[in-house]
Amino acid sequence: MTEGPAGYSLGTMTDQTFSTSAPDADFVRVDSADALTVARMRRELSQWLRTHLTLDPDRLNDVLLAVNEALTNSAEFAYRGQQGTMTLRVHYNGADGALIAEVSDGGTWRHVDPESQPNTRGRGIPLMRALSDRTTISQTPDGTHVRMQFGDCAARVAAEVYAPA
Amino acid sequence: MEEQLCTEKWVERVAIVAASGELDMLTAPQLRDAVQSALAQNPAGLIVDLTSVDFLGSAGMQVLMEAHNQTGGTETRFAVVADGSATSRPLKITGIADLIDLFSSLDDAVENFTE
Repeated sequence: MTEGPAGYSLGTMTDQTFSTSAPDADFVRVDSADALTVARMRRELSQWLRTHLTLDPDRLNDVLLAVNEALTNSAEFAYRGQQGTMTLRVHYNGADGALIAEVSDGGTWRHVDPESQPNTRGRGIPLMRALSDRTTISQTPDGTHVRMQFGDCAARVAAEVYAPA
Repeated sequence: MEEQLCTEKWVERVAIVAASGELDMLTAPQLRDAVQSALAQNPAGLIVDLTSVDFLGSAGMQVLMEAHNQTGGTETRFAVVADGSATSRPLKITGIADLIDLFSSLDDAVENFTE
């Protein structure tokens, strides 16, 4: 775990569970950018994370919530009522235990000054930044790309190697 | 299939709106409706119980903040029941827990509201 916002520290796994390199794993979904897809991708990612990694409940929820917020922004803002697709790519790097979640769409997120927002809204991007170890949001003419990194995620395979017989 | 079940019950003049399942952009409008329906009956207190919620996205948090704003400066007290990784943790991370009264069990909240 690296630095986070004040008062916030992430759960970390013990070192030994990924001291042996685990296999890489990938999760990729492409579908229409809407609320139903957000829910479905989130559930499928939850299953995938439980199958491949041994995240504690806090960390598991952090990943799901951060990804949910990126997907929600795509579904809500990217196409402004027009149809479009969004892509969720999650890559687990077995060598260093890093989980990379990327959400991309072909639209543009509405830029809103947080200071001008009512206090009820505008929590998505701050949540993504708080929950991940590093978040980058790239806006290009072709769309919006979010990349969130979560360090120190232990693979299930490696954990089993170290499990007591 | 996308069920967000909200139930309303009363203890004296305190309305308890309990949600279950996933609170995200798809289902949050149902909680908003349930909260509005309860507030329309002019309760002495409103408790939103998230005990059975297993996912809370910013859309759900938005409904809680709306209820907080709406009850602020009125006679109606407002509190949220949340405990665990999926609910109380995000509320603390976002700072919402500093603004809204948070209880870890419904019993505690009801006791506090009716004593």
